[in-house]
Amino acid sequence: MFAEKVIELLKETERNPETIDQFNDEKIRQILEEMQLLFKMNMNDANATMDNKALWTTVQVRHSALERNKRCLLAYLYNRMNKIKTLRWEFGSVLPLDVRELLADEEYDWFTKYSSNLATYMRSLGQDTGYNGIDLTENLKPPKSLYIEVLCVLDYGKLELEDGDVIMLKKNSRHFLPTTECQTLIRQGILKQIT
Amino acid sequence: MDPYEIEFIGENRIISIIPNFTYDKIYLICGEFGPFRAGLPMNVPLWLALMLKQKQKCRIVPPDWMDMDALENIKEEEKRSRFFTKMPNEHYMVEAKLILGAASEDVPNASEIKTVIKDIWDIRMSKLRTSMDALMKSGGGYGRLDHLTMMEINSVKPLLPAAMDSLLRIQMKSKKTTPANLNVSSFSQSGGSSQNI
Amino acid sequence: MEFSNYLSITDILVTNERIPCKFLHDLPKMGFLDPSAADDDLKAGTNAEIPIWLAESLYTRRPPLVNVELPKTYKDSYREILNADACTVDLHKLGQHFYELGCYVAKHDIKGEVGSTLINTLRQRFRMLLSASVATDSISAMQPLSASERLQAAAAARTERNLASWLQRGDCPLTTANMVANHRKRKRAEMEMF
Repeated sequence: MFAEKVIELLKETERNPETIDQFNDEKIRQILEEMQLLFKMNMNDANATMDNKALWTTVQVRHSALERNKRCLLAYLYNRMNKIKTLRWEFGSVLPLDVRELLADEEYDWFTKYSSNLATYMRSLGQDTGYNGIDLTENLKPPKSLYIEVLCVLDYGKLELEDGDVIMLKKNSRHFLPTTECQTLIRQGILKQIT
Repeated sequence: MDPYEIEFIGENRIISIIPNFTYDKIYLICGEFGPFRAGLPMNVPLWLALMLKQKQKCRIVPPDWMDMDALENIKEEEKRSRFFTKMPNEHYMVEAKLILGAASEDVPNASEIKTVIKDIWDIRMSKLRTSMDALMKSGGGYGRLDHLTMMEINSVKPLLPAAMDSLLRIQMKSKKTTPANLNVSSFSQSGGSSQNI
Repeated sequence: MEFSNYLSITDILVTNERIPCKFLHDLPKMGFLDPSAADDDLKAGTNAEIPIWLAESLYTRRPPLVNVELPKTYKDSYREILNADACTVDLHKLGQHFYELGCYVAKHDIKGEVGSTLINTLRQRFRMLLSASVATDSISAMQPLSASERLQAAAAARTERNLASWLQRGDCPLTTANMVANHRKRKRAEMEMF
């Protein structure tokens, strides 16, 4: 049957809606091969329709299959693009290596451009009222307290606070910090709020 | 919406406090408050009242509706009526939870009041579930949300709106006239994004 | 149920399901569409099950190349059961995309009965979603639900959980972002496997 490989590709994506998979180069190559083949067969048969009119419907059927493959491939890329957007909001502008490896080169280029577009936009916010922009990836929940207690989940290294103090974030160390200075690290899974 | 976001909206409601300190007027994005005079009642937003209370800088004056007799009446009325009755306050649950949580000693009969408010909430929530099911079963195309508070409306989301959406979609799509073949349609893009809803 | 748009993966998977069709014209070299035939060419009058996307495309040609027939789950006998008491039916077994697929099928049902069965089923089964959203044993409550019903019940359960935790606690704890947490979890699972 037509367009079966591309369904395997999409089912793979459906299985893990909450994470991003390795970009599947190999399968995409195979799908494009199928499309090339369909296209060639259609070229031949289209030339032969002069002698055999019945072939015309066959050409139309293959053409539907080509369009189906195209739709599925675009949906695959579009779905990943949305996930890559989410990566920027949740991991920040620097992706951990093991996440970056999952993206195709073109996707990583797109991530970089999206990231810098977003940064430019956030910097521009509030400039007319004298502010130097707003980080939209912060303060996603209503503020409750100015300071919170946190537990460090992994060895992170030094963190310089706004008042100039430097603290060491080591695995299992506990800290009492201003909410504004640790909320991003909490979202990135480096710190955990103790409640 | 997250309940904490609704709580945040509810925290803007003005309530009375009696400060135990004296201070000039303060200027906030949401308005001007003060001057603060020790021992004299004054109005501030709920969030500010709670902050001052936590620092033991004030006593909270319970809102008028936090009164045993009034609440008992509401409870009876809510039990009797087939419909939702009007609550004394659009954010009654938020106000009750925050004030009784942080300043129960400022509210006379605090624990009884807590119980009766919880009863009212439970009655309304179970009424809400029954009427949702009845609405879907009866084939009604719309529901009236009169006198439901924001927190209560939020509790039926996304379930009820999603079910109504599905109904509409099936009605629209199962008609014979719809052109269905998306594979050959021109490139269109709608909905679909999974984030930041 | 989401709106089916060009890029919707759900709609693509739904349209991959097969439905019975009768071919109205000869199709040279397309014999493989009917697995029971050995010929290279597909003959007019052949019956075969083909994916919806293909059936739709062949049906919309002028003149139509196929006639679409009702799959058995949308025929009289099943409709009777659903109309009597839809809550006793395991839609997960009957067809994960029961409603979505039904919408495609309904257009080819001359009497319009499939459409009304779909609506009736959805109205009756709403209470299953309600109870699944608060069930203590959510796994068995979710089991008989179709794919889109499961998503709806899970979202409703999330609302219930958030509300319950709001009622119980005073603070609003900050948490790890969703994709970060899931990426870590998956990574850990993969490490344990190898």
